Order: sequence, then C-alpha cells, then structure tokens
Amino acid sequence: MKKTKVIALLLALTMTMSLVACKNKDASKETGTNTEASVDETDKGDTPEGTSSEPVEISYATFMVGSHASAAAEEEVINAFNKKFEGKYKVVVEELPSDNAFVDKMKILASSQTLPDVLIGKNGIRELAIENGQAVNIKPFLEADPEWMKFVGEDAMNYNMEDDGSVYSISNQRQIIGYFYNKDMFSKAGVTPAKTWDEFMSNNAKLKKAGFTPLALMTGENAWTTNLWLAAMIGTDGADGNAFMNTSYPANYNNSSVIKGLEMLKTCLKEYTTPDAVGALYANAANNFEQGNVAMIANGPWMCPDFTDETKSIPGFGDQVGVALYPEDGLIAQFEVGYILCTNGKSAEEQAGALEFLKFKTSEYAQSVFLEKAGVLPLTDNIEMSAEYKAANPILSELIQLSGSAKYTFENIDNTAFSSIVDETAVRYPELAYDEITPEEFADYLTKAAEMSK
Amino acid sequence: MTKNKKWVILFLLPGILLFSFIFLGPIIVLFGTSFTDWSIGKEISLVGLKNYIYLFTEDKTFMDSLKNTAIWILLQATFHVFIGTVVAIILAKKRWYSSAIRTIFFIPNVISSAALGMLFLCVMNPQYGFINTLIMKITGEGFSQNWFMDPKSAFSAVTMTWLPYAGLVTILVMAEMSSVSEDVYEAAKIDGASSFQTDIYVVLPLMKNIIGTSAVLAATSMLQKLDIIMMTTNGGPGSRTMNMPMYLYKTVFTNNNYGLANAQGVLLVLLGVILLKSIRKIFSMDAKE
Amino acid sequence: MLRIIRKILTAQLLTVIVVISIVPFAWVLFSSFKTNSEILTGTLGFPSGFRLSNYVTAFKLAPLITFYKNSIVIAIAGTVLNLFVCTMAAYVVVRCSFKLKGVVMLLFSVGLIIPGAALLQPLYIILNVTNLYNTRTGLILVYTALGMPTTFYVMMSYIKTIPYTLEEAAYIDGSGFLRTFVKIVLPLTRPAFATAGIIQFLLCWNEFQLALTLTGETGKRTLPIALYYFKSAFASDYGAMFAATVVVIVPSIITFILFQKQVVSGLAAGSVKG
Repeated sequence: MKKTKVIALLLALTMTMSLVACKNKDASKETGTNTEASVDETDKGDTPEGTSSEPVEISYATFMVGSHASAAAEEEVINAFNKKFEGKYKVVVEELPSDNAFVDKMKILASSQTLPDVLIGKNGIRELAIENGQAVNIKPFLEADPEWMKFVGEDAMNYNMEDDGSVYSISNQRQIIGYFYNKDMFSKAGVTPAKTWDEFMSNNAKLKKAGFTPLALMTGENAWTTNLWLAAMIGTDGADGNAFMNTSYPANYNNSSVIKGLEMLKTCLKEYTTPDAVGALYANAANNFEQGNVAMIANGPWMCPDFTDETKSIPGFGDQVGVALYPEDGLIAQFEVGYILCTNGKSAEEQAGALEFLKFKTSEYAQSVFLEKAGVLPLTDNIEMSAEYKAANPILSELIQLSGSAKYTFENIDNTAFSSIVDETAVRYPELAYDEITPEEFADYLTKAAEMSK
Repeated sequence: MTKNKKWVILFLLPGILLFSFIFLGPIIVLFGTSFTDWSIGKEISLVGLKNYIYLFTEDKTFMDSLKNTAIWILLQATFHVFIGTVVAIILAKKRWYSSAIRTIFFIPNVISSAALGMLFLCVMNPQYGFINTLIMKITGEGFSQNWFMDPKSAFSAVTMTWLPYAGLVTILVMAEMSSVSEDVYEAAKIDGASSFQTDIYVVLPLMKNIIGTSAVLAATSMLQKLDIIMMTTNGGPGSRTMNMPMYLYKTVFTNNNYGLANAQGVLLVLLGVILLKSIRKIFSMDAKE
Repeated sequence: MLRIIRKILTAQLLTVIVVISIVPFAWVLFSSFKTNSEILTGTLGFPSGFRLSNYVTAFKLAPLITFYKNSIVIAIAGTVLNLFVCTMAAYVVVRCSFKLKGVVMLLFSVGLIIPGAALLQPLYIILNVTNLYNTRTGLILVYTALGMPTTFYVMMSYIKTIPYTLEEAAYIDGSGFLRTFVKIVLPLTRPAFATAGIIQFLLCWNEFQLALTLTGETGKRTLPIALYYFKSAFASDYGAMFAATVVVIVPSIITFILFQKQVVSGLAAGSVKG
C-alpha cells in the first residue's frame, strides 16, 4: 500500500513538473529568440551606444506580406524607419498573411481593446477602434505639422473626416479604377470602348459574335471584378445613382439604379462571360484576361505589372492592353481608409513613437517607395512621377490622364458598404445568374444584410 | 472498487484542470451572452430570449443552416462511417496492397484545408476542371456543369468534398480489429463459417464500440466544418450550403453581432449534446461490460 | 458465384477509394511544379517540367523553417500531453464506477461540440491574462484540450475490448492500481495509442485559426499559417502555395506510416484477448 502512495506522489509530481518544465522551456526559448533578434540587429550596423537605453517598441500589424503586391515596399519602409530611429524606436511587426486573417484577428483584438499602435483600419476596423476608445483623433497632429499635411493633402483628409470634424485615419493610397481591355480583340470585333451602357451591351454582343468572351467576371471571394462593374453601372446612372455610390453605408438598396445595374449584370453573367465566372476567384478572372481569353476586366492600376510578367501573361501582352473609363465617362475614384492610430491610454513614449511611425508611413518617402515598388498611387500630386516612371508605366499614365476627363466619379461597394453587403453579393450572384431570384429580390437581400450589420 | 477513489480523482484531474482552463471560460461567456445584445465596443444589454426568438422566427438563413447541418450530420454518421468500416474490414485481410491502400486512403486527411479548398475548386471548375473534362471524354459531348454554383448541384458538390474521405474511420476500426484474437477466427472457421460470414456475424458486432465512436466523431465534425465550405461556395448560392458553424462565424466576423452569434453557439452545443447522447444510446456504448 | 460477385464489388470499391484519394494528392504534387496559370487552367495533367521555382519562392516568401521548428515542438508536446491526459481519464471512466461519470464524459466531449468561432475571443483573453498569449506553451495546452474528446473516445472504446481478467489477475498477484495500469493496460492499448496519436498530431499540425489568433509574432507561429502567405487579394501565388503544402504534408504522411506500423504489429501479434 505504501508503495502505491509513493508512486501516486511521484506521478502528481511529474505532472506538475512537466507543466512547469513546459513553461521554463518556453521561457528559455523566448530568451533564445531574443538573442537571435539582437544578433540580427547588431548585424545591421553600429552597436554599442544604442544599447544603453532600450528603444520604445511600437506595435504594428500588417497583411502586406508574402505574395502581396506591396510586400517588398512595406518591408523597405519599415526597415528604413527602424534604421532612422535606431536606439529610439523599434517597430515590432505582426505579420497577418491574407486580408481575411488580418481583419478577423483585428476584430478579436478590438473586442478586448488590445489593437496594436498602428494598423490599417479597413473593413470596419477603424469604426470598431473608435467605438472601443482606442483610436486617436489625428486631426490636431495634422494641423500641427504642415510638412506632413502637404503630402497627405486636403482631399485625403476630408475623405476620412467624421461628421464631428475629427479624423481617425490617414489614407494609404488614392485609387482610380477603370477597366482594361484587349486592343486586338476590340479591333477584330470592330468596337471601341463604349461611351454609353447601350453601346457597352452591343459591344459585348459584337465581341461574342466575333468569337471572343467579352468580360472577365468572378463572383467568388468578394466578387471584386463583378462588383466594380455594378458600382460603375449604378454610379453613372444620373445624379441619383451617382449620389448613391458616393454614400457611406447606405441602408436601402432598393432603388432603380441598383436594380437597373443588376439587370444588366445578370445578362452579362449569363451571356457575356466565361463559363466559370460564377463562383470564380479573382485569380481565375485575372488569368482569363492575361492569357488572352477574355476582352475586358475591371480592375485598378496595381494590375499593370502583371501584364508584362510572363509567368502571368502571354508574351507581349503588355502592348495589347488598353485602359478606359466606364461608359458615360465614369471612374471609381476614392481613397483607402488607411492607417489608424490606436494609442489611447498607452505610455507617452509609445504615443509619440507611434505617431512618428504613422507620419513616416504616410510621408513623401513612403509614398514614393510604394509608387515605385507596388504601383500604389500617392495621395497628392505633390509627389511627382518622373518621366522615366511614366514611360515605364504607360497604362498607368494613360489612366491618370483619362481620369481628368471623367464626368462621374464614385466609390466602389467595398468602400461604401459594410462587409456583410459584399459577402451577400457573393452568395446572391449565383442565384441571379441561375434565375433563382430577380434583381428586386437581390436588392432586398442587400438591404436586409445592411440591417443585420452592427 | 471504492478504495480506488483517490486514483479516480488523480487520473481525472489533469483532464478536468485542462477543461477548466481552456473550455470553462468560453462556455460561460457563450451561454451568458446569448441572452444579451452585444457587439464590439458597445454596451452589453440583457435582452432575454430575443436572440433565440429572432433565430427561429425571422432568420431564414439560420433555419437553412440548421437544416443543412442536420442533413450533413446524418450523412456523416451513416454513409461516411459505413464506407470507412467496409474498407477497414476488407483491408484487415492482409493482402499485398492492404497497407498501401490504407495509407493512400488516409492522405486526403493530412492535406490542410487551405490547399484542399483550392484543389476542389480546380477539380470541379466548370471550364477546365478534371471532372467535367472526364465526363466530356467519356460521353464525347460538350458538358459544362458549374458544380459548386449551380443551385441544383451545390449541396451535393460540397458534400462530396468530405463524405467519401473516410480514412480516419478506417484506421480507427482497424486499430480495434487488432484486438480481436486469432482464436475468434479459428473458432468461426471450425464452425464452418465463411470468411464473409465471420466478418458480418462475428467481427462486426465486436466493433460496436469503435463504430459508435466513429459515428460520434464523424457526426460532430459537422458541427465544426467551415473552411472547405468557406473556400468553395461561401455558403451560397443564397444559403444552400450554409451550415451552423459557418453562419456563426459570419455573424461574429462579418456582422460583429456577438450576442446573436453566441445564441447560435448555444444551440449548436445543445444539438451536439443531443447527438452524443443519441449515438451512445443507439450503439449502447454506455452499457457496462 | 456469390464469392465472385463479392470479389468484383470489393475490387471496384477499392479502385474508387484509391482514385478519389490519389487525385487530390497527385493534384497537389503536380501543381507544386506548375505556374499559376497552368494551375488555374490545367486539368490533372503532368507539369510541363520539374521546375523547382515554386519551392524556392515558398521558402523565400514565408518563414517556413521557423514555422517548421515550432510545429514540430508543438505537435509532439501536444500529442504526448494529450495521450497522457486522456488515456488516464478513459481508463478510470471505463474501469471504475463513480458518481458523476456522465458529467465527466460530457466535460471530455466539450471540444467536439463547442463551435470554434466561439472559442477564439475568450481564449485570446484567457491566454493574455495568464501570460500564455504568444507562447508555444499556450498553443500546446489549447491543442491538448481541443483533442481531448477524440483521444478520450478512442481510448475508451479500445480499453473496453481488453478483458478485465488480465487486470484481475494482476491485482490478485498483489499489483497496485498504478502498476496494473502501467504494466498491464498501457502495453495492450498500443494500437489505439497509435491511432489517437495520429489524429492528435494532425490536429496540432494543421490547425490554423487558433494558431494565428493566439500568437502575435512570426517566431512563435506554426506551419498552416505559412500557406496563407501565398493568398493575398490580388496576387495569390498558387504554385508556391501547393509547394508549401507538399512541404507541410510530407511529415504528416511519414508520421502516419510510422504510427501505423504499431497498429499492424498489433494485428500480427494476434494479441492476448479472447
């Protein structure tokens, strides 16, 4: 009997030991990685005097990693900041691969008020940060720093201004989005970029007759290319439609512009696109266009580098691509939500450092790097594009030129609506394409989804 | 056996501690907040049964997700387990190919869902996909079925991404078959039973426990199934392939509506408890030896 | 006659099983050598050449090696701890009679029925408060708990098949409770151990959502997160993603084969039961 008692004791002991050991092991490993990190730092350059005082750590979360088009630019800017402020500030990056993973995790952090100091506040994260009290009104800082303000610009600031005049985010890019077309196919079918939506539909018919698939649509993921066309159809439908596509978070989608647009899209989905469009991913649509199978795709200028990339496009494809405004001279022109500053309640040093990082991230330097390396349009014209850059990026230059003659400008659905609306369009397009629901019912579902979003 | 009380406690203790650390908090939050109106950053307010009433009376998507989940549970607990068990019985007869097939059958289970989702999208692509190409080759005619998006085939297409992949059931049953002694087979042989008869009348009944366990695991896996659906149909068209875990996920992350999501969570847990109880009853797994 | 029909049916079933299982694997393997465009438009064809560029990209874009190390540590620790906790519990639940057995069984089943999305936020807070956020220990504990039901059920089911007479004999010989458990019961449960171990290993190896939510820095993260480095809004690199997938699944397959040997040797031994 005694024996069993001893064994019992031993067992209990090993159990607790193993738990403790686990923790210890981890702690030692943590220090292990720390030393590795510090070795990395010393590798970069000068060592001794910086170590006397620990640099203030600024937390930053990003989805611009891995295969993301801006990953290289992002890394360069962060490294430049860490170098410039070596010994004073250090940005600690949480990498969140893929946009969905980023948004989901940030929502969890928002719900327990632990958002990092700086992050992109897209897809409703900014609103959550304002509600949970972490977000800082950046307006006073903008006003106090004219050099920074010069490169942020009035337009970008006003775009992010709340009703009460406060500004909670600094945009990270200006977007102008038209559509790209295949010049070869257009000339073979004898059409030019449509000036009206009637002409657009008759162009589609002509293209189809000439043996080409007119549109690269996709309704999987966030139905991106399809929703761009929808935004264009609504946003160019007179003053009412245009006003609707410039309204943030509309509550009611049941209006004639939306229904007219959906009616037209229904025809496009059934007649004028690839067999795999319904349910396709962005990659499918892009690939269909870049492999020369489809005549048109709606998308922004960040797609341009792909046209000359032979792992993505057929050889010589870059010369075949033209860019155009939407019919009725429509153009999606908007700013991204951009970076928010979540330092309310944090230490003064951290607040100062985070602000410094935000300024750096939206500075002339950072905007130039993102333009050069990722084709991201700067916020103002104060950042000039060199003649070389323009020559190297003819399609982008053409689009910027065209943007001057746009009659209607408006935003896209991802920017104006709750993410639940975008999600709803993705699951309703198949029903629309298969005649399960009418455009009116589609609009009703969107209205309902808007109600459901909190 | 009462003298073993301290051993019982000691043996259960680690599990119970772990449960309290990991699951207790979330369960309390889940049940507690299901009676509230709660979203990130906003005040919590008690609303009684409002969330539940809403789900059952107004929320058509929820009712669809409930129905789909129920069908999938049923299919998993029956068909899926059946396939796995049959394959296990066949492979238990040692042949040259047994171990190879067992490994091959298990491989789909080790591929992470990020890749699996993409893979099924490609295989079932209406334009280039393997399935449609195969059908065209066989029939010699044009064929273009959008498996995941056609409202008529979406549900079956999603079901096929997991229903036949019963490798897990196979290895579970095979592991338990290893506990059947040679004597049992010998005895059956002496009694003149064919190998088929032995399998059906002698071995299968001995497998009752593990088949019940497989049914529990297969059925409850449908209470967690999410990524594949999200990547292939996103619950659409409409809500034809929406299930409960996915709707819950969307209610949390797309609509930020924690209160309503947790009411769904409570219903999911209740469904799970009913499921566990009934499967254990059907396979009389609680019966004493 | 019946025998022949049965043989044909068996052969057909096995053929179907092999085909539907091998297609996904072949797909992943072939795709890891293809370009994006070939993946998006190709049927199940062989790649045009054995380009290794996707593998190079995969290792360049994602911190695969760091993730690998973490995954190995977490999967092994998570599996060992899980088997340890659940086997003990399963044993007493099967062999001993005590009050509240139903409650205990329910507690151990919770991981099966609690929705993952409902766990994320509370678990994040719990780990944050206990300083286990962004640690491997945190993930190990979470995975151990998450896999409790499966291991518990598998062990319970198996222990039930072990005839009690063996233990009885040990007790008569004066062996204590613990000694009987370790010397008599554990060796007999080897096949179930192997099976439950595989399932638990895969859980730790493939889980994505919690791994991402409960860690904050690259140095603490696991392999499944790597696959998402190749999926971004406008620039997904599916070739690299499948290359990374191959890198991720190979250890799983090896583990499976190693563990399965245990099950098979159990079969061969004919065992002691009757």
